Amino acid sequence: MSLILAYLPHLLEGLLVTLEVALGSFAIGLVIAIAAVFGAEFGNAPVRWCVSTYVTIIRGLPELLVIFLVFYGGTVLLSRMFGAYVEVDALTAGICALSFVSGAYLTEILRGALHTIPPGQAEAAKSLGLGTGATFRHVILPQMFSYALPGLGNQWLIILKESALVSIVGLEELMRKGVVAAGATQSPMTFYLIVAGLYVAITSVSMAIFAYGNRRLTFGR
Amino acid sequence: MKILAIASVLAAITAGSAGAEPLRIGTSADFPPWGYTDTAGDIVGFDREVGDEICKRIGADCAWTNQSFDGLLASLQVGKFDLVISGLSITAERAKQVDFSKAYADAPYHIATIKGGALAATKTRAELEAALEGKAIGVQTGSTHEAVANTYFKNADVRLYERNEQIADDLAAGRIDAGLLEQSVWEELMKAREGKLELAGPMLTSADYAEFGNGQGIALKQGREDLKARVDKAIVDMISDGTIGKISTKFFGYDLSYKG
Amino acid sequence: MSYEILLQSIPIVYAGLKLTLIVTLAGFVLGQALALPLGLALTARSPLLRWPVATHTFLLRGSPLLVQLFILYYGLAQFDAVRASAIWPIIREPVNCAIIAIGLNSAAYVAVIIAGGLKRLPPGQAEACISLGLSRFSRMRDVLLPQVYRAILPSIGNELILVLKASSLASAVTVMEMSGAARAFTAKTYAPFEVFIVAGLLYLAIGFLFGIAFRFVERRIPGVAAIGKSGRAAQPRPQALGASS
Repeated sequence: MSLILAYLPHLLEGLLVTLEVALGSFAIGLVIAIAAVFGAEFGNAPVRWCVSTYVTIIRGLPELLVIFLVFYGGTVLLSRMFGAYVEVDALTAGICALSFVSGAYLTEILRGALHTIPPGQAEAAKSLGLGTGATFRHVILPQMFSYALPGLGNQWLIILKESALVSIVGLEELMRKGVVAAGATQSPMTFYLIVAGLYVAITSVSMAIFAYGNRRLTFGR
Repeated sequence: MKILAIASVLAAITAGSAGAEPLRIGTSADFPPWGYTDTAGDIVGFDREVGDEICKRIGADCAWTNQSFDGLLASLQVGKFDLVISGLSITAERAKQVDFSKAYADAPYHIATIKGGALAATKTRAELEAALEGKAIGVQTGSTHEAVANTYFKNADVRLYERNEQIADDLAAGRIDAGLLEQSVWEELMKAREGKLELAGPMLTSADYAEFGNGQGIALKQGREDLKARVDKAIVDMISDGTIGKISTKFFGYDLSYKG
Repeated sequence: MSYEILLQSIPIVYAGLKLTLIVTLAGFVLGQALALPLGLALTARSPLLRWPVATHTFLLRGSPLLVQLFILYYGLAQFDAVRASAIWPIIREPVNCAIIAIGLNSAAYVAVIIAGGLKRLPPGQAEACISLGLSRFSRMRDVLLPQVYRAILPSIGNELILVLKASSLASAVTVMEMSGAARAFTAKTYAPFEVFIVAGLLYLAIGFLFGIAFRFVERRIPGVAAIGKSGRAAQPRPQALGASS
């Protein structure tokens, strides 16, 4: 029991890293998605093709494989590009991998939400004299996020759980801390149950927050 | 006047430490007693103390990073680390991709099995190889043990694990019939598993299976001759003045410094 | 990018293909088999049936598959009682553990989808069955469930792709399917791109073939609505409790 208590702070440290990775990946994934949606809607044919290929490929590959590719391949690529080693710590690499994956799914969520907006909205904005950029920023984007909220919440939960995969390449997040503790104490069941419990806890809290946000932020539905 | 004195002392101190070269060391701390993490999360073990001593002797300021074993050499090549000190065996295959320092240790290997298992009765290498046909052997991904198992125990079911503790746990559970690791690591892993495991067959060295390599050394990226020369000198000094022997006895109970 | 390593990668990844397909197909079948009773339990009238199953699906959907896999593989093996029991010969094999963990996890998600499908059926269907005097079993088997499955068929096709992707986790417990074989090869050659690209292409190809197979099945079943373009690549499953496809 005392041994389990000794490792508990480690698990909580890992939980913090998990949240960092998930938040970072979600944020950057969202940025990628917004850019991709912009490209898919307003870009020329090659841009549209790039976005479509990116989304199709990522959604067809196992997340673990993409993480392996970004982890083991990314540093090689970066170093070759810059000539010298570019310092990329495990956290950054983990965030890069996961945001690359989530960006594809977020693109589809945002695109679906975008197409739910009645076309009259854009037409009304144009008739009021708003340019494309202003229309996108003040009329389309807020509505897009409102419709996308359930999908975004769903993707956040997925990213939280996917972050456990980054433990396989050594990032010291919650799952990894659990594996180390289990190995050192030969009590895998105890620690993996605690780790599972912690994940369920953060997904539950997330779902509660999203339910609250959904009620407060969505309109007109 | 006093301020000037304090300022110059401070300048001298910081100048002194500014002269220390920062080095990044990569290790996989899942290999007790060579490298493991204590309850505070710090990397400790034989490699840690040997590495810190070498850093002291060459005047470097070392920072240790713990990561998966099979990614260590790739990270070294890409420039993430300056040195890899992780019970790494010097093999011809690896030497094609990285440079090795002089060997600092020479660890024998052993097959381990569950206590009272059929393998435990084997005495010679031939008996061992015969007994391992069709059995499941656990080894760590990317290790020399994996290479040896794949070359010499070809008809066995070779299972790849990420961490050595997982091999020991699966062995104790009876999922695999044998595991191949350094004898020193088995002694440590077996201690924690109170008599569930025992060593099987004879002690194995690179004289038996060349793929084990020739002693354990420190890996460097190819082309760093200056650093390699300084590290080599430190290792040679540490072997001859018995430092490595002393650290070795502290962790293994015996001296396994390289005497080749 | 070394073409020599690229060519060497192909047999390595191909060797893992058999295990990938075994884990995927067995896990999918197990998941579908378990999902039906679980889905029915979720819509049962008795809370004694609903609550335990709802908790079970909540826990499985709220934690990563990797933890569940480790609990099954390393956690259970810890106990002497388990190792002496009848299930040990089954969970002793890493492939079985992967199949069971993936199957249980998939079943939890599909159960919620089935429950959602049942709830969305027009209540008139069930009422008509009762007025016709059909037994509860017949009501389910002959009227309600066929409609539910027709409606959720795209989700089930999606689930097959998701299980294919989940099979890559089997490498975490020594099963040398495609992702594990690729990673082991990287450790030897320090050349990550070639082998992961080969593995990636193979996953995309298999997913594509699964998609074609499912579209064929969909067309053969009367009453399944035509699927739009966006339905092809894998969709993520709804995670929040209460949300269904």
